[in-house]
Amino acid sequence: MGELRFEELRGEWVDYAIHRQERTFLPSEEHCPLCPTHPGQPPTEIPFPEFEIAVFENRFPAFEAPHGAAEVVVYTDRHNGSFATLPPQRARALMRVWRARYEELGARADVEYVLIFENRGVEVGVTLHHPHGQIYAYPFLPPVPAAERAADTRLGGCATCTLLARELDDGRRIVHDNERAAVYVPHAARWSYEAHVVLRAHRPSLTHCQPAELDALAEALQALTRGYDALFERPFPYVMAVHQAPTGDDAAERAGHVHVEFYPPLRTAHKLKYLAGSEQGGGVFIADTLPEESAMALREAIGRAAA
Amino acid sequence: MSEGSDREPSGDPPGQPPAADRRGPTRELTLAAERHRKPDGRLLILYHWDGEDG
Repeated sequence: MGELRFEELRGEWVDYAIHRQERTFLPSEEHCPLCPTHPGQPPTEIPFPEFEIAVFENRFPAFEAPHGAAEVVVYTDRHNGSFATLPPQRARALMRVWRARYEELGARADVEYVLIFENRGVEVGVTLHHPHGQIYAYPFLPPVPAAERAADTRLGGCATCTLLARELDDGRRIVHDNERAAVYVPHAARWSYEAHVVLRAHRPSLTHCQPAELDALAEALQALTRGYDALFERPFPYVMAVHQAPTGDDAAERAGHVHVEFYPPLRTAHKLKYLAGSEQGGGVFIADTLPEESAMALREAIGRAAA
Repeated sequence: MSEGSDREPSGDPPGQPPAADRRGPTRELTLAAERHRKPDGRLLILYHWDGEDG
């Protein structure tokens, strides 16, 4: 259905999934395709009266076999809420679902990289409000994880380990931590409230994580997202991306370190950061806030949310 | 609505230590996956787990 074209000037793939123009756009709760199917009503995407966590192949896929996959991960059968408001046990279960999908999709010959992500809020283009995330299984290694592997080479080892150690040593940008995961606004954050949730131990993928690490990851992710909502006392839009090791056959590309990156578009309570001339034309982010100041505000918001 | 439904524990993923080594201070949360096919052939998986909220 889609078509991949290679853009030579940037050296990047572009995916044409023009059928996605037809996808459901901000339906009311009674027409939500991610809610369970109620007796006597037309079936939704999940034809059962209740469910816990559901995963299904996207009806409007950006990628599909034999050139990748696109899946939807529905966190709960309740229409309202968010990742931040999931009961902790459900968030921990979601980590296991992410791991299971990474393993199954990553084992496919047509998949080189599995990206688990969530777009939250109309500000980042959400078309369905029901709490959910997505998975794209790419038939190639995308530029961002490729850049992380290049950083590994540049820094002479795991770049994520190196950067985590620097952040822990500095301390000014740490906004939350527990025994097995740390959350910080990166030294060179591009977005005002960008944050990275990083496992302390070097784990290439969720497959390599111990149960306590998956639980710690869930705790840290929920602490951060609750803090985001407390920051401006409003639902906080973000893009969340789970970075793990590539899954292709090339062993040299299998390095990685589980971390989750958040790119929130708000720079104040009501102002959005747009990618404009410098960002799009030059590839240089112009930031409006200092990471140290953002981290202080975010740390306080996480504290308020936990109180 | 569904075909080929099977429910099975997810088991130990490859690359992980044996289950006995992976248990933290609490019992490991074990997923069960119930696989279905939608009428148009798309995969649908319902995940379940034991314990609160599961």
